[in-house]
Amino acid sequence: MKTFKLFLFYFTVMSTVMFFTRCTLNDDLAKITNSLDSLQVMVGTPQFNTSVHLEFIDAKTNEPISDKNVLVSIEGRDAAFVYNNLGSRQATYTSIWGMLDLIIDPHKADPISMSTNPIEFQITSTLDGYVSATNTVFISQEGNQTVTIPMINLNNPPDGFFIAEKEISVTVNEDGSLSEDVVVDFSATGPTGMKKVKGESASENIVPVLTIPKGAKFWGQSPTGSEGIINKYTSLKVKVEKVNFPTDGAFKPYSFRYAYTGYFLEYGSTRFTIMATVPTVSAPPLTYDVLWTVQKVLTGNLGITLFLPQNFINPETNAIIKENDIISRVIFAYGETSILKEKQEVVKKINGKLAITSEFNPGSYGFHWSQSWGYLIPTCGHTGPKFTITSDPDITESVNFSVQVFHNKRKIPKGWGQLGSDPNVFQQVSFIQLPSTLVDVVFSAKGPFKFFPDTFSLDNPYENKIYTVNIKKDPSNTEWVSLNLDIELASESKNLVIKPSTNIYYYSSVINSSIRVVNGKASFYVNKGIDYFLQVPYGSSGASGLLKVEDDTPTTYKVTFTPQMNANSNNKSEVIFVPKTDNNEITIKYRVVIPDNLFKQF
Amino acid sequence: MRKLTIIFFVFIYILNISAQIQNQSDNSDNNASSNKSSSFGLAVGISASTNGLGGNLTASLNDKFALRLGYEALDLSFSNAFVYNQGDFNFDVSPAFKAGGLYAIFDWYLLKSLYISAGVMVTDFQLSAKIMSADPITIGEIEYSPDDMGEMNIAVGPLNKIAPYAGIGFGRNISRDKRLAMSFELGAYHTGSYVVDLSGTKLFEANGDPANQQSITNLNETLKGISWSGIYPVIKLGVSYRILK
Repeated sequence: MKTFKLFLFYFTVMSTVMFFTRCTLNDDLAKITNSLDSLQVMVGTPQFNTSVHLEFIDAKTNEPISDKNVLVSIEGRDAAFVYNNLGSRQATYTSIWGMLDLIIDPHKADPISMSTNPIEFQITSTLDGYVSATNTVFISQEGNQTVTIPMINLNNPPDGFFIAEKEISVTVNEDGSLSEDVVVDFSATGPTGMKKVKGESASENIVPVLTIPKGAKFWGQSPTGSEGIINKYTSLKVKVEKVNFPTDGAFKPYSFRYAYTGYFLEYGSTRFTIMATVPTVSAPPLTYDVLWTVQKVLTGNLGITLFLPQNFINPETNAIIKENDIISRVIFAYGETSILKEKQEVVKKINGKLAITSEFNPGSYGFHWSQSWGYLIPTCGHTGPKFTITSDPDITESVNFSVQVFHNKRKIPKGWGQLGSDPNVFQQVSFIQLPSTLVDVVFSAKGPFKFFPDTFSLDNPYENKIYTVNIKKDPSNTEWVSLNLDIELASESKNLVIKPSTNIYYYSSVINSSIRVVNGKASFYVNKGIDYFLQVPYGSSGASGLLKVEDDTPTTYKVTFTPQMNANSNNKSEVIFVPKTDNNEITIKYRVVIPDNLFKQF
Repeated sequence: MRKLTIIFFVFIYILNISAQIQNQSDNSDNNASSNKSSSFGLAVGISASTNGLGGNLTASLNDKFALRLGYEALDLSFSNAFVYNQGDFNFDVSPAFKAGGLYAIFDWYLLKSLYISAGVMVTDFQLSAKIMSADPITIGEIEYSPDDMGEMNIAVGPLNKIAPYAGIGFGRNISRDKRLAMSFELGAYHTGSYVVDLSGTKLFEANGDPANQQSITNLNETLKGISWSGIYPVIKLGVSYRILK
């Protein structure tokens, strides 16, 4: 019995040991090693939750300026927070395909602080043959804010745009100060010496008259903008670029929203600027737009007279302007986030026309390039209509939509957006108040959805009124396919896969919109049989391609993608066939394998 | 490895001698009280094993069979235990190990101090590692701290949380005639197989997306195809005190 117990004891011990040692161990370990070798690690790219998408369009045709590169510089209080979408900060950015994506340093884009203290910076866009445009951007919440910048082509300006240039002789004292008053009248039919006039007559519009008083000195602007060098000038080239105030009631948003009017006093290679700008001011703290501003560097008073059109609406009284009305002169000082009323000017009749005359002493305010003065003009951008969008409970996905504004049946690009899963949002549309203004606001959804109502006719777009629009699913519309996109960039030999987070912009004959890609994934709707041009700007370059989804057989879709990575690519189409589903949903995985040396740059 | 094997068998040999001595002692006791009853009993015990430290309650139905209910736990974590270098990047790796769980085990005493066991455990087993960048990185001109970038977590866990157990033991988990008893046990749980799970946050968030886990799925299929995958070995020492005779 004792021998049996000992045998049983050793048997069980050895069995246990043998249990863990099998002859297939090496093979099994090899299998595991192989699987581990093929293990892939996904790495995302930073998600920039606060960004600005700039779109440059021709102010007359409203077409994107896609074949030219607009140079963009960023200035202003929070300019240091701004980078391109590769996270690179440059003195000048270059657009691609008529667009440029800028991002805010995620460490600086705190939603809470932005809501009370918006991020603010100025965008100056320049392009040969076009009028430079300066826009002020305010960001008070997260999201990709689209800023459309109409650029005025000097050789094909929009109606209402006026450009004049003249050269005048002046006499100066030994210290460089003017020995007599200089009066420059910029009306198209004004004094002799006009070198170039383009665009409409300014006779019925705001006509500036610039007075440079005796004793004024001109300063060369130093890099710091605080002081300069006094020179003696005996000749001044005076140039005005001005956007007329619309007199025919036509809605011309570019006239005031995005373009600018400016004076340039030039001599040799030195440019003195006395600018009258019409910046885009859309920050919540601002309640008015600025008709024109003065930015300059000189000593002595500068006098500017503005002749007003007959239908000018006085923002103080909200009525058509008349003699002896009061208009507030405002100052938008550097570092301020709101316009301050500085002085009240009286409207007078000069030569039978209503005008306001102001004298400025720019030097008394100190010198800073972004300090500006102006008058309030009536807009209703912040007090006008608001649209509350509600949705049926069965809508759980994000809905892309567009808002278009028509004035007298003329379409005005107004933008688009995306409703989140909680679509109770306010979509605000801005208008300039004009007599007899009548506008239609049209909503359209991108996908099997429909707005009810989809059109609002506003007799008085200045009225501060809330409109409600409801969005519903439209199951009868089977032309839309829900496309789930899965993009990844894989290294050739390493087990590393990049899942990008970016914005894709897509255009077609019927819609344009944007897609937010997060960790390589995005969902959006496409219309069957229509070519979609997809563009992904990265800094000053980017990737693009054509996408088309078609019915193939009763059970399959044919999806064609033609990448257009660069001008030298052969644009070879890739075609895949995917099965149809009951909910019209397809998923496409697009994997780009990148050589290791290129991948390293990521 | 060879040394470990020698130590293992020496340890088993010593226990064997110990068991024989105890056996002889028990036999003497038995001779002294040959008519003593040895049926139902209850003991509380503590244990130290590859599943951690724990406690148990053992009920003997008779001299041959006993039921053990217990809980063991092992929870170890090592913050930034080592740095993993991958090209130009350094990653801090913080491994963690968790084992143990609730168990219910039947012991069948083949001999007075030799038993085989079978039962189940609701296992808490998990071997994991948190991987974070060791240094800030700059993308473009924006610097991202390790916290900005997030972390990646790789975890190896059981396919089945409820795992069958089998083992062999020396000594007793409840003394037959005395108050105190000791045991040494070898065994294993089988969880079906081990499965690997990968997840992440922020820049590594995509790793947690099932659509991106094809390579993980392949690895798990491989593991499922290996018969010994999912076996968790148990080496246990136990001491018990019989509270009911």
